[in-house]
Amino acid sequence: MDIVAIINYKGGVGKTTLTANLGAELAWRGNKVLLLDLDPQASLTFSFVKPEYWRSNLAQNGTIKRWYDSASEAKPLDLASIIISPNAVAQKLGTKRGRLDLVPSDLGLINVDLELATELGGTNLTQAKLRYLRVHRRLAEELSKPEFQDYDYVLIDCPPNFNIVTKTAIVASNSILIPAKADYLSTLGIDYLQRSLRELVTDYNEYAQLEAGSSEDQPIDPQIIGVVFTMIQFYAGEPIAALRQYINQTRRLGVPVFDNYIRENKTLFGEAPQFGVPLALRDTGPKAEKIIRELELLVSEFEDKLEGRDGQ
Amino acid sequence: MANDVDRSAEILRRVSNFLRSLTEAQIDDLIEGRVKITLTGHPSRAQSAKARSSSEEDVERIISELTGKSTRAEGIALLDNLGLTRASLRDIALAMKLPVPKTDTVSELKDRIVEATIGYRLRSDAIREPD
Repeated sequence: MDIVAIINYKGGVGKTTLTANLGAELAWRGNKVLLLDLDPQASLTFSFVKPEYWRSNLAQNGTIKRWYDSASEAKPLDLASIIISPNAVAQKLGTKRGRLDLVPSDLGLINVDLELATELGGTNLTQAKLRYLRVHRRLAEELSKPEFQDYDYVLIDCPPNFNIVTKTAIVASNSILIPAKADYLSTLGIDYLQRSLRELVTDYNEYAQLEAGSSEDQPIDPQIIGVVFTMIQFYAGEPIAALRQYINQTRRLGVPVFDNYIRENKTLFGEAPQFGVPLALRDTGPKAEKIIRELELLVSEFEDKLEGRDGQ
Repeated sequence: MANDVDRSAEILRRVSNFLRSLTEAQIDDLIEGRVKITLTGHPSRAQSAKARSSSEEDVERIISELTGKSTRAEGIALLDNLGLTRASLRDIALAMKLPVPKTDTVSELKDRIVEATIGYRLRSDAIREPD
């Protein structure tokens, strides 16, 4: 099972579009995919379920917020119990393809960080470090349960910050995928993310040594598999010069960059969520064929990169 | 063959006209080797191409030098000292595949080039490095 955190410090970079289409195309190829929406904006969730359905059927007890909240209860909720299989996509995939499941987010998820923060601390340094591990390991432990081992991919849509909820996702992941617009501020977000990742991994692994010898003392080593540049405008088959400069600069800084891009198309990408089916799976006629083909190439490159990492 | 003769005659006629325009002292200098005859004027297409290629070498050299600088100020100083024209700065920016709006001033072109050779590294280091 590959667990991939999809994150950028900068918002509005096409993260949800990437996650939804990546998950959908992987499922179309026969994989069992779980999407975990950790972004309080819940855009990924609302790309697959209508807000009124979410309000009536999920908001109360069926979101990731509820799972985090339940950690302090006598009988915590099983994450597997709140997995849903969004209907429109399930119909599209039919019975001969893979499966696309979702753990929905909650607009109130942002408050969970405050709750988690209260669980940190301690009367001495050792206790504080052990509590740090317990809080940050929460999602990793849950995803290691047998109910999740049937999935080929778990894609975690992270919020554009590095709060505790985000850190639980990074600790649970073996790979990091970074969507970015090819512009000045978005590429700064990549640098900030790299720094935060390095600090988290260093802290976590240092603290984990306190438990040396236990079954949970494995160091974490999430790898950046690459930056996917999104909302790309093309001229003569290449990204336009204004965007290309930032793509080239990111490469020169030694960050792995995908050769395939997600093209700018507000109409096709923008309207897909209201149908509950990502563009990669939609029959939208000849206009979309080229973009869908590009998405397919991107997903193939994603699979190749993960395979390369797994083969290391 | 007749064509070659015609061309030679034409060249001799021009050289003769040129020599007649010189003073006695200039003729003496020419004979004594103190001055020499050179070819000037509009180069042929082949010569233009050659000139362009040496200009490309200059562009590559300047980009390489800029890349070795460690501050934006050093980069700007290098471009200032070279006394490059707006057209030369545009050539450098285009060689780097940077966007070059027609409205860019010389100063903006320099900033654009320095940012793409030096600035991107500085801002990345500034953010990636721990406090």
